[in-house]
Amino acid sequence: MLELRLVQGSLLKKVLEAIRELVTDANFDCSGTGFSLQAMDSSHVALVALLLRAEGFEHYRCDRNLSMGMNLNNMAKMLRCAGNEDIITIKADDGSDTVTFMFESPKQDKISDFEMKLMDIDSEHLGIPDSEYQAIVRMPSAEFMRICKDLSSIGDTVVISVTKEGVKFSTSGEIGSANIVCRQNQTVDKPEEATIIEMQEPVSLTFALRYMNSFTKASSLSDQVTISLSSELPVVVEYKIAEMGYIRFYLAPKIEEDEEMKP
Amino acid sequence: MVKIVTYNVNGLRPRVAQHGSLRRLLDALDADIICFQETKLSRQDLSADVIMAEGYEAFVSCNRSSKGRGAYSGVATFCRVTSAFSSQEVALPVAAEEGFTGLQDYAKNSETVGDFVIAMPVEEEGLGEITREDLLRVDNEGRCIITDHRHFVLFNIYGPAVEQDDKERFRFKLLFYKILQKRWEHLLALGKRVFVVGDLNIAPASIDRCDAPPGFEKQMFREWLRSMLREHGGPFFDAFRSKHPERTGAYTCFNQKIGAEEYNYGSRIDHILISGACLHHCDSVEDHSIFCCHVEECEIMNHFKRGNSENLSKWKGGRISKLEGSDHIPVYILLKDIPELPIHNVPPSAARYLPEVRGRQQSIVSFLNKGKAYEVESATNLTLSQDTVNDSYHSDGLEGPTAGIAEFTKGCNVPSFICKRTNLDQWIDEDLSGICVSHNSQKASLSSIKSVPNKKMKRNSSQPTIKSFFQSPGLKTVNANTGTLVTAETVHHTNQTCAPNDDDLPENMQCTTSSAAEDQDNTNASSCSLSTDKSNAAALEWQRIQQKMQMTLPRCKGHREPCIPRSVKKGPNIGRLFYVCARAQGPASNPEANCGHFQWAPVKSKEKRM
Repeated sequence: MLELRLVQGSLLKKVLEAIRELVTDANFDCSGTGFSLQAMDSSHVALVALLLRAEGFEHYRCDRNLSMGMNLNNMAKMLRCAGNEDIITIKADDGSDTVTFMFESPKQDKISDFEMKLMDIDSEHLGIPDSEYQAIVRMPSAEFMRICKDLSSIGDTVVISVTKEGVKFSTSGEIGSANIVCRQNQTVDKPEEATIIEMQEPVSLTFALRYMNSFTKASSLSDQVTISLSSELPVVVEYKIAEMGYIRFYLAPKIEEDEEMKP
Repeated sequence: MVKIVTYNVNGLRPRVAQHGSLRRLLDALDADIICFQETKLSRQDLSADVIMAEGYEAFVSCNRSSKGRGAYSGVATFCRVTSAFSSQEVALPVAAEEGFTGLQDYAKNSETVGDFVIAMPVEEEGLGEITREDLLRVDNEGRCIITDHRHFVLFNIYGPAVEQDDKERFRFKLLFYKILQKRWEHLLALGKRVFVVGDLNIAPASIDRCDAPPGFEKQMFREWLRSMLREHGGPFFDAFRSKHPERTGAYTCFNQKIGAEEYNYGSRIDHILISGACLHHCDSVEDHSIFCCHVEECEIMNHFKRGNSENLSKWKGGRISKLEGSDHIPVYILLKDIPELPIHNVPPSAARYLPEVRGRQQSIVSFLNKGKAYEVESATNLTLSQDTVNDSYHSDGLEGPTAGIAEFTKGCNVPSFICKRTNLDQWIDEDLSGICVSHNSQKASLSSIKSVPNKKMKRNSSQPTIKSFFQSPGLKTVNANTGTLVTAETVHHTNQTCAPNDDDLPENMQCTTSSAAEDQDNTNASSCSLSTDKSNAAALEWQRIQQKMQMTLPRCKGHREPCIPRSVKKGPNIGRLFYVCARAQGPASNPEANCGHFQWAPVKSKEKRM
């Protein structure tokens, strides 16, 4: 028996909109500690990890660990039927082949039940290592989204370089090139507008903008985005979800292929 | 010598950008008359930077049809002349005409080459009734420029392409060529020599298409084109085929959606057709013709092929790199013993007199700048630009040592391609032997590069397939040995702790891996600080994860390489994911090319368990 009641139902709606473009089908894993998902995109280049901790739900009952395979587009279709103020409850019976989403309007005058078929998805859980990063950039998520969008109209890849002066996003394409520098800025009135850079050593990595743009779909979940970079590791683009969890995107950097040329 | 080039540019603006300026593009083709097709310029888009180049006179035709496809089709003929006025050069036409029916209103005021008047009503087999509107529509898409060079009349043609079952466009294409044929016959009857160059979108015979299916030559347009040729009783020489009757694999067009360049999987649809008598004063028709007496050479300019220069990375499903350039290759013809003309002026339909071009201030400004700018550019810019390329690579902050020794060079494609292949073999080996070996081999190859600092390198950005990341030098040189040890241990640890409870949260995983790192620290206390070890462990763990991600991607049956995902775009299975071979399409005989692998992504609805 599974019953998860989320008062801020809009969070779940936003989560789905954030990942459904990147991942088509995925297993949602429920355990005593929380509701989570780990999935690759179809070309197995990027990885998404979602966690909603049990404490964040108004009511959280999960009798035994359960893995539910869902088509994310279909799930998003159903969640779009929930109002932004609605309370969403996820319900499933042990061994059932369906999951039920229940939407309650804030005034409790309308209750909707949507039942969705589950799928069998073969997926292996990957243990993501904890690591220290050479540079961690925290910045307004809207700003990061704007940068990725703007740069992708010029080129296919973005070079993210962190120095003590700030973080530089650059690209080049057929029509020209672009450089955007964001300086460290903690002196703003509102903390969500701050740009904070923690740097152990300078780092510069190249990423495909196609994926970065896809990640920024999660911007509505959080005012701030955290970008963690190390020269040997995939970048982590993390959006916190209202005190109850996070959504993290992992992407391997592009490497500059060195091809030896015989003289 | 008169050299004529035909080139489907697939958008004139992108080609101008690719070469830096229109003048450089034209100079690169190095010809007296240059015929472009698919300029994709609408009338409003015409501006001096894509039409006016010093030393060239231009004649353009733009799409005027109201199909909502303004930036579509379009042809342009550029003539290299030393003077636009009082010139004796053959390249400068004595007359020019847009379109070929002679019916256009905008052509009324200008000349009609050869005083062509189409007889109405037009009778043509299998086309039903043809109205004046039909003809105007055929002539309205900017598919033809005729220039009269006195010795010959040159047709610059962009033939319509037709989808298999598009009846309306099929009729369009038929009408286009039938009327065009009438025009040619009219001029030939007047004793003119007719040259037809351009992208006709017709491959005349099986030899002109890679892996032509049976019955290829039976298609109506192919039969029509062959009927125009000498061998089949027509008036024209297919200049390329007549010069090289036996040559196979000579193609001018490559489908960019399937990476057709890589394995020469193309077709020859850009042609130079010539007909008429030679310029000799001789009565015997035998052995004398414009082709036999005046054509020095006709050749496909293969160095313009996409992906032929610096960008040689593999196609990999079109995700890796966008090749710069047109999907067509130019073709040239070299004519000898063409005498000069009497003094004549540039015809009034030239682009220099178009209100769109002439009426703009910019054109004058850029014209004034040109003289100086070009001299400087041509002298120093080539070397300069190479320097800047080098600089920019450095400033991108690439890994120190490799960037330091990297030298950007162009050319020398063949060796680097071979190098690619060996890389590939290496990958396959690695697959079999696992992490440690591949890691070591990577190390080895890196150090070999380091030891020869002057070795020339080619840099190429590639898509982050997990495999390529896996190849990257993950560790600092000092830790090469301890590094591999860590892999073995970490894998061991995580496997032990994770196997029983698959549903665990990432946090739990993180605990186990960090404890693995601590274990590593204990056993190897003498090595480095905790933090470097930890990051090494993380890097190795990531390599393992990424290898796993890679392993779970389906492999194609032909090459056992990771497939690329695609999704169904229309029909009942819309949105459904499938995997196909990542390689470029090629001839069926080439096992290196796309193996045609297809499989659905493995997803199914849960069965009722009651």
